[in-house]
Amino acid sequence: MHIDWFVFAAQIINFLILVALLKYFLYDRIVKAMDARQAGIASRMEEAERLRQEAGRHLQEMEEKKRQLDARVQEILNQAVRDAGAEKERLLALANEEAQESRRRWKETLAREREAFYDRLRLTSGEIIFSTIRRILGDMADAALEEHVVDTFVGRIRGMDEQAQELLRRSLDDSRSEVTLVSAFELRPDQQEKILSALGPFLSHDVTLRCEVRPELISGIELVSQGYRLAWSVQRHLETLEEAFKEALREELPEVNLENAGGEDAPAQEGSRQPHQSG
Amino acid sequence: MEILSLNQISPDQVVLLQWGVVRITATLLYTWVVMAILILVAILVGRKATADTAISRWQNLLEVVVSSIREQIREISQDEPDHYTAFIGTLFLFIGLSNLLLIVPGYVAPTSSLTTTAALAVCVFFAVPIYGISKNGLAYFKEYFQPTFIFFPFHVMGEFTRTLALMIRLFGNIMSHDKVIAILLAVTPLFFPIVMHALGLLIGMVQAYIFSILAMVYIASVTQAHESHGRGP
Repeated sequence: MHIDWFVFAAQIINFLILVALLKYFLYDRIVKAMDARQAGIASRMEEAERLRQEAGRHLQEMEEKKRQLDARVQEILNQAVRDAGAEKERLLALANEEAQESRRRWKETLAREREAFYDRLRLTSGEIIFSTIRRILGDMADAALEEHVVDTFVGRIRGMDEQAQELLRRSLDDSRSEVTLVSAFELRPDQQEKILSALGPFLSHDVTLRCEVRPELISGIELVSQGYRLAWSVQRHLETLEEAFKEALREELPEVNLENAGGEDAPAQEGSRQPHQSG
Repeated sequence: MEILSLNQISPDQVVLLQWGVVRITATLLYTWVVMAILILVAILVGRKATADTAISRWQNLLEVVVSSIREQIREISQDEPDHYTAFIGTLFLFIGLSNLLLIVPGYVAPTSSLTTTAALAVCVFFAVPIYGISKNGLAYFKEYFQPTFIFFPFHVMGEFTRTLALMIRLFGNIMSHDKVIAILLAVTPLFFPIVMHALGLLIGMVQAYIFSILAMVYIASVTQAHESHGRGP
């Protein structure tokens, strides 16, 4: 056992050099790296914690917003349901009202059409009745009837009252020389003579009797002289009857235009000074 | 090649070169080898040391070693380990690597030389008052007169004896293990020396740990003793 003093001193120096080198190359750098890493980790942890808190805050805000949005959506939905219900009620009521209105109008139209149908039925039936009568009477009219007609006409001239006689006389005076005699059949000369003789008391001067044939009279005679007309004919009777019928209808159906609906047989008044002489 | 024969008790006796008083012995040679390995690794790893989380395996290893050393120092000194890391850490790394390399054939541990252990023990011997004075100033010397001045010689004697104990403990363990391996190789060359080698690695690390921890305890005793007295009534 001995100690080599040179080696002893060299070993002390070696050790001190080793301490210095390791301190510079190893401990300082490693410790510095570790401290830097620790600081970095700490700062990252701090940052992570800050971000976590921030995220938590954002999450709370988002949840709050979502809750508000949900409530708002629910409110809007409820409102929409209420509005839809009200709109449905309104539309139903409107449709109901329109349906009732349509039904009412339909009923009115139906009633109007029914009335119009009845009116047309009445008018048409009247026309048929009158045309039938006219045809029957036309078929029955012949020479024998004509004879009766002349007799009846003469009888009527003779049986006129004072006022009528005066009217006839005045008109015959006004007429210059011609009196028109209208009949359904051509009058024989004796029949013309019979009528002229019946008019004799009312004539102040000679007149010519002009005979005219009109088959639409069916049967009968008309005396036309200077604004005066003395008539007895089935045609006139029928016209009078038809006029009365239409007057009755007019009173019942004021809106129906009987002039258009009545047909072609409107009575010709021709400015007669007095109503027709009905038989 | 057998550098150290069985009858040579210390590698100091193997002189490789000599110029006058300058003698390059096997102790110095292997000391330089250990120093070269340590410094080379430190430079290579320390140059690329990074603060990133992705680090190399070597940096990871050294960080584990350094942080373990610092943790031990912190536990013993109850203080920040920055002042002591270089000295205590270098003691541990040097002694530990010197002992670990025993598994390399032909290698002779510098710590099996009494000269080396004496040099390290003397370093500790001087480091204690240096740390004490740097920490507490001249009040450090009051410790030698505690509790009364009568204890001064005992304190001084304690300083020397514990240094001597450090020196002898490390030298004895490593040298005797070296000799035991050599003897066992001659007696039972198979298997058994391997087990003894494994045991030798354990002993080497334990001795490195004991040496550095005791050094730290001695240093802490003078830095903390004054603090406790200062805080006392």
